Amino acid sequence: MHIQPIVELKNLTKIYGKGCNLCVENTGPEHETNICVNCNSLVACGNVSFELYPGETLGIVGESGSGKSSLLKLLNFDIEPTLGEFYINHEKINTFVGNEKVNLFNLNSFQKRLIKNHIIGIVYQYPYLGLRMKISAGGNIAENLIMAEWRNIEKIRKKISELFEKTELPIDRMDEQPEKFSGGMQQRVQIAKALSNNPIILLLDEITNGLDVSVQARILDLIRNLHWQHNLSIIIVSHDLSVIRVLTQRTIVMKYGRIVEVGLTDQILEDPQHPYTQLLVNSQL
Amino acid sequence: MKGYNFGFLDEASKREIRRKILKAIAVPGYQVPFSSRELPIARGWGTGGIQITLSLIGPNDVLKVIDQGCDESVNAVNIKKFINAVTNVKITTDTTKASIIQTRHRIPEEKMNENQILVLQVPYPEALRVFEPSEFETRRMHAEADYSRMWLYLYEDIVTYREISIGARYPVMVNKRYIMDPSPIPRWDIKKLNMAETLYIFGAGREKRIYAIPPYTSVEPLEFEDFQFRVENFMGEKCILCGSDDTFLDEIIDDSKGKRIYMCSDTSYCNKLLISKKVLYKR
Amino acid sequence: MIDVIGLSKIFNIRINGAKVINGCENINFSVKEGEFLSILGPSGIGKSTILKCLYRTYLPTKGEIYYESSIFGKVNIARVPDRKMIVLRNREIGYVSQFLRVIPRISAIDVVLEPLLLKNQISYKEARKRAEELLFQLRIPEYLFDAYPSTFSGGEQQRINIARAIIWKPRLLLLDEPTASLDKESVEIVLSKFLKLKEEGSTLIGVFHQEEIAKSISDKIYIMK
Repeated sequence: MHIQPIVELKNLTKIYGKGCNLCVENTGPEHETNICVNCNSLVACGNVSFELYPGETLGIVGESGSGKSSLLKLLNFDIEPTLGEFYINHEKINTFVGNEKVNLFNLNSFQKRLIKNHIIGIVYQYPYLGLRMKISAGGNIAENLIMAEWRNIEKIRKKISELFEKTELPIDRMDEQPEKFSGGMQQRVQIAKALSNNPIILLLDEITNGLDVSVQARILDLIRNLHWQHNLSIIIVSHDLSVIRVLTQRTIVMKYGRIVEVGLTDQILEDPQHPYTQLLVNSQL
Repeated sequence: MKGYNFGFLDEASKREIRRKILKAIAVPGYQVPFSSRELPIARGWGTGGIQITLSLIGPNDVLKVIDQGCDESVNAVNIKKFINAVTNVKITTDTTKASIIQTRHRIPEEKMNENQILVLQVPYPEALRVFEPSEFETRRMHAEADYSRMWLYLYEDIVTYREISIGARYPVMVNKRYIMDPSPIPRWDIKKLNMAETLYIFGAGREKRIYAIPPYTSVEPLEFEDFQFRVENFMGEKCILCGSDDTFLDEIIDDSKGKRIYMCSDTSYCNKLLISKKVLYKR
Repeated sequence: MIDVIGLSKIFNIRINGAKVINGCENINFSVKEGEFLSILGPSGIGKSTILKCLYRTYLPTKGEIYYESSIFGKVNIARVPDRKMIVLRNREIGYVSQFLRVIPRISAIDVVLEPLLLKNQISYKEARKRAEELLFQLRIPEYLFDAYPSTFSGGEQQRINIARAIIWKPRLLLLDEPTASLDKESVEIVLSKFLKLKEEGSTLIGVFHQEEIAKSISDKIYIMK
């Protein structure tokens, strides 16, 4: 039984600054820095490779500055990589890029937008990154539907209502602007938006940060249910190990832009191998 | 006029503008930047349209200039006088007799043909500017045909007002590729842009942009399946002068009686009807 | 079905000065399909460590754990890729811990039926029916089915935990002191459930607090010294 990964990422490197040949060599956990001493560039991700399998939830942990959020932004084409290859194996992608296996980082921006809109859903740590605060909550979701050629207001609003229901948002508030919503509700609008075009891959960036514990639990519960209902493949970035424990099967640990450890989530939490992971696990409250 | 080239602008400038016009015609709806020249008129007062007219006009052309449908308004008259002074071309108020018509905010009621050119003065050429202040970003959107936010703008409008509330400057899709600002013409005139026999050229002097709709090009107002584009509805009112109920009407308050009255916005068309019907002014 | 050969687990703690902790050393045993093996020995000797190595919660330091999988054939759990281990956990190998790890806002019935959905393509409705039957048999009062386990007593939580592990009838079930927090009556019900699984062909490996329990239900005993 061979299982083909849905996402393959190979040697992803992202350097901020002018960069030099020594950047990747000079940085990483063994150097305890992600700044290149030679040229002062910042290596946000260096030679990051991993696979995501269909229906899997993969966690990425690490402290701030470890490159985990940059990684998600790269996968969502929000920023351009310095180097690297990115493949998605799914028949839905063939309609946009043809049958050949192509490095998605090399696509033109139109093709990237199609993939972002039809294959990837993202929920950002800060709602203002994922939502237009001055546009109604429903409008934020409508934008994605419009991109997928929806041109019927009644149908659009019906779909928004369904997504609101699914994400436990009050339907009678769909025409209000998200800036009037609580943090938990804003996060749910982001989730509804991410789900609007039935994505295959869901990217979640620190989605429970700054929320009350009870609200956090509801969001996590929602993600679990959606994972079941939609058979999504999910990548969750978090520095909160309890989020990782509840939601993921496999975990990647990052430090200074490098992967220092990959493993089954319970193995990472109970038998961490890398000293940094050991420190991380033992620092939990 | 002595001391000036024919058409006020020097030949090199005219040629540059004509090249930009050709490019605009070649890419319908696409805004072509041009180096808007100095004129003895402040930018923002029709200088885009004037430069297009001056670079196209020849000694045998017949010119008509209108402002909001009216041949006699101050702006129209002054532009006419200026162009006449620097070219000596014939001036007319008859739509059917003109070879070039320069206009602001209206398209004449009478159907125009393949031998005519309509030059429109444009204050804001960018249809996407209402929601996106960055030129870099709007250019990217045009390049990638990434127009979801324009549609979103219409969606929000519908959610707020239960209809699309845009009066003039109703966004259109040109040749199924570029979203274009048709200049502040009323919705009434939008349908005249579609598959027209006439070449439409749009000039924005202050914003330094030229764009065009070549003859027989599809121009579709943006609309949702269940919220379709509608033209203005005058609820059966008629022009108080010529009695037309099938033209775009201006609403005027009669100060002496304190009542609303309606008149054709296209004055030359109205006059033509009056003369043909031999209707007298109802004073 | 399982051959454990020279299994050792050493924990290498590398924070606050290096520390080495011995988990278990040179463990060798075999279990045939359909057998019930119990591991006995004084506390702290590493009984649970063995189970966690078998489930790959711990990465073995030395040795092999050969397992005859119905999907992949013979695999060495000590070195099988994570991805395959996830499939094995979802389809073949179950694990009962000493305590239920509560997941916020998931009802008892959903906790129990989740592995069923993971393993088989059955409807939620069907899964729920089977979960309800099982909870009845384990004497969980019906009004708790849709409540959150975080509010349950220790014994109730543990029965939920066991229900979750046995509902999908894993081929191999690892039991890590499953009965420690249960009263006598519950222990009997639970043990009968384990034996029923064995009758149906499952293989079980268990660590039990009480020696009598181990001796009463297992075919084989592995004693650690």
